Amino acid sequence: MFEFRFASLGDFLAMGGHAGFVWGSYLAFALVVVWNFWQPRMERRRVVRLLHARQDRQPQQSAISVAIHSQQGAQQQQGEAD
Amino acid sequence: MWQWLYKLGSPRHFYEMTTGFVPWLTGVSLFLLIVGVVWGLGFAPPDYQMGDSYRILYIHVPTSMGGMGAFVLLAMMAAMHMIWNIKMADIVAKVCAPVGAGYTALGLITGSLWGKPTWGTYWIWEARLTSYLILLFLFLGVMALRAAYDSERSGSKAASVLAIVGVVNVPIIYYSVYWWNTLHQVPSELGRDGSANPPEIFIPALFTGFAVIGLFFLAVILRSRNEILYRERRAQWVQDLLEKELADV
Amino acid sequence: MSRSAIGLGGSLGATLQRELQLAFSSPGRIVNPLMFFVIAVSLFPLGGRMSPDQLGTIAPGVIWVTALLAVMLSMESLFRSDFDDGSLEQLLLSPQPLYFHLQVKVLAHWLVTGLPLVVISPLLGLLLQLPAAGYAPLLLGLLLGTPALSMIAAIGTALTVGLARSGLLLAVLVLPLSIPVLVFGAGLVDTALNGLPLSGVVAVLGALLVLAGTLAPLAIGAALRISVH
Repeated sequence: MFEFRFASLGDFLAMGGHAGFVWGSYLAFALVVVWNFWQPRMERRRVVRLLHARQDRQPQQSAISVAIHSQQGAQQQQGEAD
Repeated sequence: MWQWLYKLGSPRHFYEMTTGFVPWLTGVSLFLLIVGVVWGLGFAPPDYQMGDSYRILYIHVPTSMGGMGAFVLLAMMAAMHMIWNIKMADIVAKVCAPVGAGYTALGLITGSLWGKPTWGTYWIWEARLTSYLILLFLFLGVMALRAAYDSERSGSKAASVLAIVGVVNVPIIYYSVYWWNTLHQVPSELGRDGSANPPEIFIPALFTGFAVIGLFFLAVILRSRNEILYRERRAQWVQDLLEKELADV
Repeated sequence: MSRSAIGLGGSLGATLQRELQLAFSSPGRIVNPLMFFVIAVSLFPLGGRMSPDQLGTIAPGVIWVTALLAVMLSMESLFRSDFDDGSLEQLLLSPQPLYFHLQVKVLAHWLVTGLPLVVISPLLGLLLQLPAAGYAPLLLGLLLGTPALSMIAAIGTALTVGLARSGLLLAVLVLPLSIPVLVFGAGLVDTALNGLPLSGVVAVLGALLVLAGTLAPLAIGAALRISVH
């Protein structure tokens, strides 16, 4: 069951004459897998940078910022209730 | 169990619970993937009819099924969002669409790359293939509709309605094309069912199958976490998290 | 009970009358889809050199696809003016059941935009060399299929009525959903041309119409509530 089915590396790469189809499929798959890891990484970097930038513009005093946030939250909730 | 599910419904708990889970899921999925791919490409016996081209099966079958499963998950999350207004359900529905669309596109690409050596053509208007093409269009429609709205809230509800309408349509589309084929006598027996395959061919497919499912949920979780950070940006816990991250840098 | 039934019937009748009056006061709503239908179909024979036989084989598909596009393009006017002048909001707030109102509204819209397409379709069959056996199934299929298409397209319209530029998005949303109607509609003509029994296909088209007519108003209603807020 666990024997390598190809006589040589060249045979393996040739895939019985279907190299383009088989390797093409696996390449497309690899691209999607890599994209699914890479996109969230970049997105996270972007979100963190964006939120830091916003935080810097807001007053750093936590008491004030909490007050603002709770006010915004209340307004938002009110807006959702409408 | 129920409490665990209930907690997952809260964005904060979802974020905190997945933090430790992500490395494990990544490791297990990649391990299964490597075992399955190496086994499938090098050690599984060649098919007596298709030779080595059948080795595309190891990624074609799981990604196609994953694409369909992703749409069902999308519609379920959309329904939960519409009925109970669960924030987390909408976040998952939103990130589910691009990941599912990617899988569906992969299923189509690998399917046509497999079709050329097997039936001598990249494409036939067969029920399963056509349904998957329409499924891809439905994914793109849901994404386009959400993106067209300026308001996140309206966009999410509109996309939810479309997802639910779409999931009702998928089986109808499948049977309509199936019927259309019987009228035009296009061969629809593709002989692709994994069940008829011997275990040496079938077992590696289980590995890649679970790997692809794991990678799907991993992508959904990773994207959801970003979405949570953005949507909950006014919450204190996100602010604390960001401050801690800044301190670490 | 009976009073509320009369009230409902009366108000639905009023809705129907109002929609029809509006349509007849601006003839473009009736004529434009019709002109689109005829012009677009007549482009196909010019797009390639085809023998009459070849034209006849593509005729059902061409007529059906173009009818689908005409129905979809005509949908822009379904909720647009009501949305702009605020009467859509009133409809959503009114105590009358929204479900039946939407059914009647789409029905009225179909009577002025869809039905003319059905009536003129034999002429297009003539232009495309449709064999004689195909005319009756073409008419019957369009008669059952275009109202179903109107219902499906109305879901897309309701989802996009609040957006500024919705034309192409509407097509992206609606076209995939209308494939079953298209397949069985064009398939009905094909079935007839192949001399096969029609009753099964007619039954499926009827079932699709019933399905669209009963389920779509729910989705349209939900979509309108989202668009208005």
